[in-house]
Amino acid sequence: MSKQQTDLPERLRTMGATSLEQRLLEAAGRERPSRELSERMAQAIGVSFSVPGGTSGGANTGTATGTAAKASSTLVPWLSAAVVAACFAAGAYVVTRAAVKPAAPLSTALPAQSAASAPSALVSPAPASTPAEARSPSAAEELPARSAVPQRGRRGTAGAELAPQIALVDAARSALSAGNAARALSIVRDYQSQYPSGTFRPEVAAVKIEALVKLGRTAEARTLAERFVVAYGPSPLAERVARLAQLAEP
Amino acid sequence: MVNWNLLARMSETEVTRAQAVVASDADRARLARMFADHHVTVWRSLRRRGLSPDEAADATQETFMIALGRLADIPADSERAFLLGTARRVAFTLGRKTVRFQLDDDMDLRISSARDGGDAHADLQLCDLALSKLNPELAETFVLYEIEGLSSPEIAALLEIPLGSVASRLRRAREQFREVVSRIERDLSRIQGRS
Repeated sequence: MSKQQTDLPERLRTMGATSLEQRLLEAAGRERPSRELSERMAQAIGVSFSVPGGTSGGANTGTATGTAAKASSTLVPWLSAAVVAACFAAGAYVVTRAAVKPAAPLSTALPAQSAASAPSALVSPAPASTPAEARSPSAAEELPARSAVPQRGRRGTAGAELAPQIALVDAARSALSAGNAARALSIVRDYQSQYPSGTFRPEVAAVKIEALVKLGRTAEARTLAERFVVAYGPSPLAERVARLAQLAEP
Repeated sequence: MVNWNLLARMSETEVTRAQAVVASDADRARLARMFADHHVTVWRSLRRRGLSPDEAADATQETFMIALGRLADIPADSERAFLLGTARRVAFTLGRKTVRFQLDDDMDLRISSARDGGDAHADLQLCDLALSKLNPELAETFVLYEIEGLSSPEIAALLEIPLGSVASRLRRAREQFREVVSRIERDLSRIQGRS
């Protein structure tokens, strides 16, 4: 393992680069977000941050502030979700912690509709009761057309729902890495039932394909892989899926 | 009245996230430190995927919001790898077409335009141009190693590939990068010769 690491060459910037290569790599390595962007990001995630010795670009303060306010709104569903969850789980320690440290500045800014639009991951009825789940899932539904891929969102709930989705994706991948393809498939099914329009459907479909390959269900894997490549190629993930299912390169 | 049914349906992760929302001072402090230490790297890694400064900022803040919900799962010595890995996944969700540069083959035009933008800006544009010509999988490894300075074990863990694959991707990425830069250099000389 260490041998492979030592086999890696010196970084190009420190040895062997032409002067143009050096310039380009240094330019890329030096790039930083503007002070406004850094402060906007910090504000959106609720931490204080100031650029040491930074100078304000100052040209677009109004826009930056407006964007920051918009970005901060992505936190609102999180907070509203916690409030709703806390109400339901009164007596649980979540409530205890909320009582100890209420998120006062942000929760007071919650519009009335925020609680109603809290992430479904926390407050919606069981996914088994959703119309999508009531239908018999088909392979076509597992791999939606590219246009059906949900866009990342500033629309509020998308950011709030990503964390539990990522946890499931990670769990499925961990199960695969641990050699437990059946467990990975089970987690994939959980994801697909909980998030019928989930953000990470492609990643989950890729895990499913890999799990099927590992279980020797190659015909199913190839069918799904072919649809995957059509839906999501060309992309690194589609290339990986094609390799796994031993398709021709997408 | 406690809705035990709902509570039972909440996964452990969701409870953890609810906890994170009412994060302790220690968690907030850790997030602030992580942001100070790593937000530039995360933002820059997203820029090298072809996102605009604003898009990269949006994806960066989404990355840190995810981290906020998972602080307990992030080992202290893996914060950067966790953030870069999460940023990578966030980038993949942005609508695949926006993740890579919008390309055309008119390198002359791009090079001329880059030359007009001032040296630092021009170099940055040329670097992005060169990266955009690489196989995306190779470019990803190249950026992490050559620009962001990650070690090969970090890259292997982040991309979920063997160490040997990191080395081979890097070797191929270098070959492609150097070939493209050399072509850019030839074109630059030709353009300068004309002006």
